[in-house]
Amino acid sequence: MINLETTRKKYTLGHAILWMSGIIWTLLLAAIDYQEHPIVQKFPLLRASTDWTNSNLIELTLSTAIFFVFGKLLSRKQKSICWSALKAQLNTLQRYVCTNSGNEIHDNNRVTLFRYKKICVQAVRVKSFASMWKDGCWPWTGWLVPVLRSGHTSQNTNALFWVPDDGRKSEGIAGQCWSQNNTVYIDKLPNVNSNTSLSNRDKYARKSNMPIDMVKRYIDNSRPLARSIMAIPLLDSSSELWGVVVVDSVSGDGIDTKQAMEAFKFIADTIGELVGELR
Amino acid sequence: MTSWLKNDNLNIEIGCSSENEKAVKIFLSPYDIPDAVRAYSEGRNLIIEFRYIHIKESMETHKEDEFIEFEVGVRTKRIYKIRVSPSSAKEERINITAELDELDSAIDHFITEQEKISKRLYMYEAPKRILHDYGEKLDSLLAARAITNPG
Repeated sequence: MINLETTRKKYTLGHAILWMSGIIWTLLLAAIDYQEHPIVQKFPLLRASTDWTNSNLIELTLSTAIFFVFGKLLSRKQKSICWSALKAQLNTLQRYVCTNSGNEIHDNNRVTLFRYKKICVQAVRVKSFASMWKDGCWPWTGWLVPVLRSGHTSQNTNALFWVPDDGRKSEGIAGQCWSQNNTVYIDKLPNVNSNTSLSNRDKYARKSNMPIDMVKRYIDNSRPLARSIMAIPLLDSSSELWGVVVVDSVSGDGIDTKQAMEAFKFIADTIGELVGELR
Repeated sequence: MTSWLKNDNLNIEIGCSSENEKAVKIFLSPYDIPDAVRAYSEGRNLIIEFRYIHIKESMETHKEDEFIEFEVGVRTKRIYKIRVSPSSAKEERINITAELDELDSAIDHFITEQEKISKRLYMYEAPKRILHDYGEKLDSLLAARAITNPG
């Protein structure tokens, strides 16, 4: 998940580094130019420092250049702005789509942005080597990775969905949406918690197209499982399938699908442009 | 030009998953469903225009027959415009509701041509449905415009 606070901090740090590298650069030039100046010669400390600078000129120039590039990379404001704007769009969607979100905890009705990644190293955390060997769900076979979520709670998630080339094997409602490039919706999923029987857990996994390990992980971590899920494909502004927007609710009828489509249509142009910038 | 008519039918169900006890509903992608439609006259031709979520793409023209022509997005293959020419010199004004069967079969013919290159043929269900749902309304708007602005 993208942490907006960290992204902002990185930007501020990058900006500071850029300023500092500018100052260091100026001092280096001054040290070269004024090495023989009478004022410099008058003060021993100043003379010693200009001498040292001139004798280590190549190393110092290289270090400053690396410093500058590092600052430039960190201070890519465009990315920071894109993520912030995307977050605002997800919050808007969450407000319009979830019918019961008025007085509820935001965790119960969420909008999550999943991005398609061909290679996903985190896959090794959610899949055992045995299942990778058996099903072929290797980290390089295509995954939907959660990158941003509405609200400010429940921001840490391991909900990765395998989306291989063979669309029939795609996991979750998000995976189905990705492989079909259409909106997929399910509601009235069984209420599953630690007291639920194994057969009902299986039923949940089958209906939601989720791997049973994932259902088990949610139950073990006392995390509520969604009872209605809607996944909408997300294209960037040049019509490339970028990822999937998933709306989920712990209520069996917590998503107003008509409102969801209207709200999505309303923000789709902006989201498309923003994700296009993040390619 | 008439104003855009907002399409209220944004959830076009195209199937449900049989493996999942019909619990999973599949709707057309929002990118394939026009948000709005409008119709206007251009000379003696009738233009029906669809508005979608914006995608940067150029257009290409597909001539279905001597009377109907489609303007289609190069990347998405979405139908943006349908140009209908009058079938006879006597025909004063083209009526969408009267031409619905011809429009349907033209879209169906266009679909068979697309079969070779695209698998997403069900996307054309959206413009077809809009023509059926909003044809009458578009006709009345066109008629009202013809009265107020006969030129």
